[in-house]
Amino acid sequence: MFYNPKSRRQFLVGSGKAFLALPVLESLLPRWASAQTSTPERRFIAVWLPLGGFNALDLYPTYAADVPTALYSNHTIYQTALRLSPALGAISKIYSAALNPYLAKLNLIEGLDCPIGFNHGENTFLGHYRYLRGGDSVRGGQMLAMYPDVASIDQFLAYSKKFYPQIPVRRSVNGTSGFLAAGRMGLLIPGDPNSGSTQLSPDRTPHKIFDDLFGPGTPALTSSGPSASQLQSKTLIDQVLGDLKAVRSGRLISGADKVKLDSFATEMQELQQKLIATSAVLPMCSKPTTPTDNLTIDDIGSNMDRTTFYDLYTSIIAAGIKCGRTKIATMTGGNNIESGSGNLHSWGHDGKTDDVANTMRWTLENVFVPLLRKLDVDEGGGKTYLDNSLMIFGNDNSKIHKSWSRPILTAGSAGGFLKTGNYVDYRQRGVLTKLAYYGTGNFPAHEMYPGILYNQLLVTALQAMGLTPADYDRPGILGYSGAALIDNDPTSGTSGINLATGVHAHTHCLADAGKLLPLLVKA
Amino acid sequence: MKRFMLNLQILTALTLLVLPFQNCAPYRAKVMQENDQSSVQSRASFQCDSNAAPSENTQRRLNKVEYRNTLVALLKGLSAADVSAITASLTEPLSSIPEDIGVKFDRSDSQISQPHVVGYLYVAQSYAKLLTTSLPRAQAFFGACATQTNMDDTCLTRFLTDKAARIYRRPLTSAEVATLKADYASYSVDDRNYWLLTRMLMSVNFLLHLENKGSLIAVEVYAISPYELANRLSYYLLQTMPDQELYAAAADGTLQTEIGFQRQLVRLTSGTFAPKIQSLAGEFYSAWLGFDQVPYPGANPTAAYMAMAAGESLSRESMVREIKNLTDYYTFQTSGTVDDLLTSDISFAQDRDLAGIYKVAPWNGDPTNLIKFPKGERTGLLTRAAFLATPSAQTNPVMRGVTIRRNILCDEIPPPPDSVMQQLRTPDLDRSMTTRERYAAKTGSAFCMSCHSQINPVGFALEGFDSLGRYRTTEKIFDSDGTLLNSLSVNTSVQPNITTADSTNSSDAEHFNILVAESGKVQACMVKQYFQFTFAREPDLAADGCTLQNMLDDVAGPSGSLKKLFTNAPQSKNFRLRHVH
Repeated sequence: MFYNPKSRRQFLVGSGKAFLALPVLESLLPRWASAQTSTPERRFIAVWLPLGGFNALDLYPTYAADVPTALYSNHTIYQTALRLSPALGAISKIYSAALNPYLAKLNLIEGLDCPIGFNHGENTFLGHYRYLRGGDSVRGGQMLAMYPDVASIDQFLAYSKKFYPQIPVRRSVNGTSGFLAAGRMGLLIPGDPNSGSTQLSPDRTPHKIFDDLFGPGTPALTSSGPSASQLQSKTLIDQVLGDLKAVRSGRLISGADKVKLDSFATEMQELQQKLIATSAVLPMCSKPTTPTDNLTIDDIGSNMDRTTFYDLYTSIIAAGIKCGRTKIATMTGGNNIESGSGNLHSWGHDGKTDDVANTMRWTLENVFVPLLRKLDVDEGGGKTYLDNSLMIFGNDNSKIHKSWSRPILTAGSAGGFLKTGNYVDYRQRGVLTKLAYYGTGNFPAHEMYPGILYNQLLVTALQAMGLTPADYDRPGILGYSGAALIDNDPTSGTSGINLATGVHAHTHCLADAGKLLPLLVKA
Repeated sequence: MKRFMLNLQILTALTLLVLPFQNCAPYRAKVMQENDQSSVQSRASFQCDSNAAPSENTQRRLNKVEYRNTLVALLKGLSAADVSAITASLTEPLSSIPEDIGVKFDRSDSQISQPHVVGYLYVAQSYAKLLTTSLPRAQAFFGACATQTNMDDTCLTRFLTDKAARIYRRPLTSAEVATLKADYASYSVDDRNYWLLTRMLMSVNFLLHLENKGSLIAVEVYAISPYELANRLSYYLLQTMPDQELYAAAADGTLQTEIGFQRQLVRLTSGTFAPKIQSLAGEFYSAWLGFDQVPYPGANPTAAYMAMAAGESLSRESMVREIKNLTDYYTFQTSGTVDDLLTSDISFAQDRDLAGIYKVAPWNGDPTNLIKFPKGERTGLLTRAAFLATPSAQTNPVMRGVTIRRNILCDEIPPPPDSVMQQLRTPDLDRSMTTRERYAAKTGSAFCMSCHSQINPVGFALEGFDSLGRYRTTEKIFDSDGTLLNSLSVNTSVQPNITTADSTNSSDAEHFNILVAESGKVQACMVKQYFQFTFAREPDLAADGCTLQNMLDDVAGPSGSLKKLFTNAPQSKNFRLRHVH
């Protein structure tokens, strides 16, 4: 069990003592050995947009997932082979022809619903259900009361010793368009799943990611030993740790001060280990072009066009993965890639589905597919980097400004963990629920079928990355982050709660929240 | 970015919309007792034991604002163009450091996480690189004797006794000088200056407010050193390192004399520093009064909301701006008091939308041209739209009550039990009942009232204002389609029990505000909050009683004023002491 009942204070005291007692041993220095192992390295990549509001006709194929395949959570679920919509020459208007070469490696999923009936679910996309942006006091309070303060799954993986037996050059890359930074929730004390979460600052410039993955102080690509710059960095941190030790053993340092200093030392130690990480020589690894300047997402439009910017971004990320410097990359899209006036949020409110669709397709074609293409190269054993990865593309909202039937496209089989080439529909057809965010205005009322809980994608992703439930389960918490149903007051007319019965449309599938996605996981 | 997380923590308090079930009772005795103590203390002053040691405080890191300001201050001596260019180039590295989120005040966040140290290294390397990429910059920073990459021993010694002391904000010990010289020698000759500066900026001596040089004056109590005092003073008032004059006063010992200390305090709170004090006050008011909790009216414009608004709109920015104007006026443009805040009949609405809500002309910002509210409609801080508005068609008296109890009166309101939390519902609409009546009915059981007896009256007293903050004498009831179902008279008479000992009734919001002001609880609450803001720890009523009382005298004494609270806090004896356990 990963659940650890130790208090944060105990953790700090313990780790600090360990720091003070043990020297840094050269023999413990991490080594990347991915090319030497028989089990392929698995990687997790997610690209998503916040706050959608789609026309379902833009999102899904012109054909339906129409083969009733199984009875699941007391309702029939459907499946079909993923193929092109004949009239479009592509899967759909949004899932455009850029995906055509990869059909066999994709899954299109309909009917994954967030258990929180809420319209700003950016953080829930990667599995953090406790802190959501804005919102009213009722549901905000319910989230605080009913959901644990967990890291998003990318950050949980980033500090999992099973996923990263050795500390990588960088645990994760957290890209963003700049519109919204939400989604990646780190742990206050990395490695301590009970320490509480903190919103991570995104990587806003490709140059910074490049420096972290390939710049001074990182392992040389042609040698398995630490570079001179790395050794200098190691020395520097040793010197800084020396200052800490001197202060700690000096005058006027209370017990509480020592806890604080020990925590500081622990973080410095981890930083040091990152700085001296070395790399085996990997066949498909080649250093990307060094960015020529420090352009950030804010420069898009003025000093750099969007396509060039994201090409740089994705090239560095793909190289980082192929060179074994990281195994996690997440990327949010948004304002910088929109086509009209306003933004994703306002379009979601206003029902401007064309603008949302164009932005979603642009992100697919300029961020997700380039990453996919750059990773679909041989990694050995007849598999590509893509095959050994799980890539997810989606939006935290769907055809309404809310998180039901969230659009999810996956790519890669995570080293054979997942079946691919499928279009699955988990919705409980015939049970219409009125869920319009706005009952008035120019955004028409929508009715939707309830599906199964989004948590099942989270646990599938975690297990696809090699974890088991024992690694992430917490007592009484299902589906990694929990699956308590929260929704609008049924009298609002926009709730998943049936006004007459008081029963939520997802009540019947709560018990399955911790299970793997049906139909998609290999036996 | 991270602010919304804190908002939601605060919103826990606001989730007491309805407590339809039991579980309040176990809290009642404790809550009433604690809130009673608070009120008694506020009226009868805090207990001051001059022999009590201050409560313990731990070493803290520089918060993000302090960290940035200090890096910029260290550039003194470089050309204005270089300072500007380096400052601009640091924007990106600085963005990699997590934003501060304190329990109540962000400036007190002392968490150090991996993203912090990674960010510190990124900033330190960027900073060092920027200062070693040209000879003029390197010489301006390291000394005229330096090259871009190196210093000889004499030059290094001079740097370590001069500039390095500014980086550590105190003179280095001989042992530290020796260590840094040895470290310097270990670096590649190609870039020793770069590595030395990076190393110093990563040191605990730079990153933390280290206070470990004081003198023992009583058991576990130390008078902080002159340099530590200079740092406390400067970071508290200005959020940056001591300037040259303050540093010199620490060096020559005059800062430890009463005259010298007072001279520095006056200097740092007036003249060119005055705007900094306004900024300090603004930061405090924003956190204390919860500017970030002010809602976005119309965020969910249902048909009922649109019908209620009747064409009027209101922006969050307008409401926040008014509170800023109000607090700024009574703190800095006149010698205002807390009572003034609580009873002012002047509109500070500069934006047309809010002025429209108040039915007054927009204020042009001229303190000699103040605009009063229509007589008999509203007075005081608590009747401003920022405290009244909700994003829905109906008011939420429970939310209003909880906000005021917790934020303004510092009352302990326990969170609802989980069983209640999971079943929160607004009371069902009923065309024959006002909002007050619906909430009263839903929370009417004896058990619920063990908590709601404190919450509801405060909210009910403000039912003379709709969910846009407009004054009203009748409440319009709309159904979900926006159809007007009924108009009912509102009742604002309550027995608010601001203190448990006070059973006075109030008839309307104006009378209610007077009771709030007279209770003294707001003054006491403000002082306790300000203590936490100043000292980055919650006050211990026994250990910190004298400091709290001094602050209370500053803000609520016979010659007290709001401004004094901000400028006089360093006068406290405890400001110069540290308790080490």
